[in-house]
Amino acid sequence: MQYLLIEYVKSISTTTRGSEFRYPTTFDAQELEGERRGPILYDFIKPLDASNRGQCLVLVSDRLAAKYDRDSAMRIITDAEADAWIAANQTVQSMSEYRVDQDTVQALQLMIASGRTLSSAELDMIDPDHPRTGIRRARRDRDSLLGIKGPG
Amino acid sequence: MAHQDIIEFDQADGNARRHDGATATILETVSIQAVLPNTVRGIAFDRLGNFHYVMNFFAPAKYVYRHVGFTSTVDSFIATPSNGPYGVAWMKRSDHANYMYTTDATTDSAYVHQGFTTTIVASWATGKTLTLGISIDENPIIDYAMIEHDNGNGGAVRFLWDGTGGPIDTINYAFKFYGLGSAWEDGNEDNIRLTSFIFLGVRYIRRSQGFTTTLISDTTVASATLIGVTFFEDISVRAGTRRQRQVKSLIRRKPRC
Repeated sequence: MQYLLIEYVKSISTTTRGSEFRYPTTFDAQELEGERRGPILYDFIKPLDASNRGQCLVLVSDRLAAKYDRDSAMRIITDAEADAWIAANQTVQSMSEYRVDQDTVQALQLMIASGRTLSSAELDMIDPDHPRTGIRRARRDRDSLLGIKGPG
Repeated sequence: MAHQDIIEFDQADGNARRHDGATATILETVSIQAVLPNTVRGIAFDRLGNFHYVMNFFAPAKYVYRHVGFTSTVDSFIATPSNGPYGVAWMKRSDHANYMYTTDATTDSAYVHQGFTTTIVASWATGKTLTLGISIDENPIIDYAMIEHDNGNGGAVRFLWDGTGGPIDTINYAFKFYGLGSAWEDGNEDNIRLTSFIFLGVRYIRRSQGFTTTLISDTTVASATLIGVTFFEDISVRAGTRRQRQVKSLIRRKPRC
């Protein structure tokens, strides 16, 4: 698997008059769907440059990475470059520090409001560093944002 | 039939899953999260086969994202005026105008957008608490907007399309469950309506007879954080069918030797 950086251009559709992203000519959303791992990472907070260009990062198969890397608007980047791109991604850096399971937390709130003392297991659920479902500390590294990079 | 497949949202992992009709069998899973996996809400398809979802983002901008078909690739995104956007729906009216509907769960209002734009052409207060999903009953004669509510009573209210006529129809369910999303099968109001809901901690997708409480079937889903539900609009299948019709038409017109 390889990290692929894709450049898109925001433009106005000639048919709907709405804004749309234009991806490189060789980019095929359906093809990517079968050969990617994890989500496509965008930066929706960062303003586009003067040419209305933006970038997104995705983990794809070696085959697709080699094919798309021949397009000037897409390129394979190293692990270190992916780390730097994520560190500079304003959307990622603005993420909440916690991931909250609303159902669990709502149930715990009701227990506390009714005066019940939480058990040790229930307290673990609101400990962000404990693996139980409830409140978890959000990770912002490559593996958690894009999927584990393995062979393929 | 492809259009009868349904899509569910899993709020925990940000995945959308396509079911084989109203069964628990999953045919396809797409990661629709852009960055924040636990804030995705509603789900809808427009009439071009594009896939929309609303995402509660960083204040004050609350975005609706549009995808290239049923894929992870974002095609565009726009901000909504909502404080807590939850539902999204798409309607092509009988006059061929396109509208997008969104709901606000914090102010209990609904907005009508001019297509996929930030231009609001109508809005109204739903008169309920915690307005969640929204769906459109595309009756070819009269266009309705139908809203699912979660107010502890499991009620749903149907409005005229622009909200100016006020609520015209109300149903309440037998159980006080937590209604989430809803969807209508194409056609008239006698057709199937889907509702996603929680009852005693279990997530269900229910098929009902039109705008009634008449149960057709219930499916429990694997997703512990099911939020939205919609019918799958496979534009490629429909385009193929049209092409096949054209080919058949050409064959019929071929003169006999």
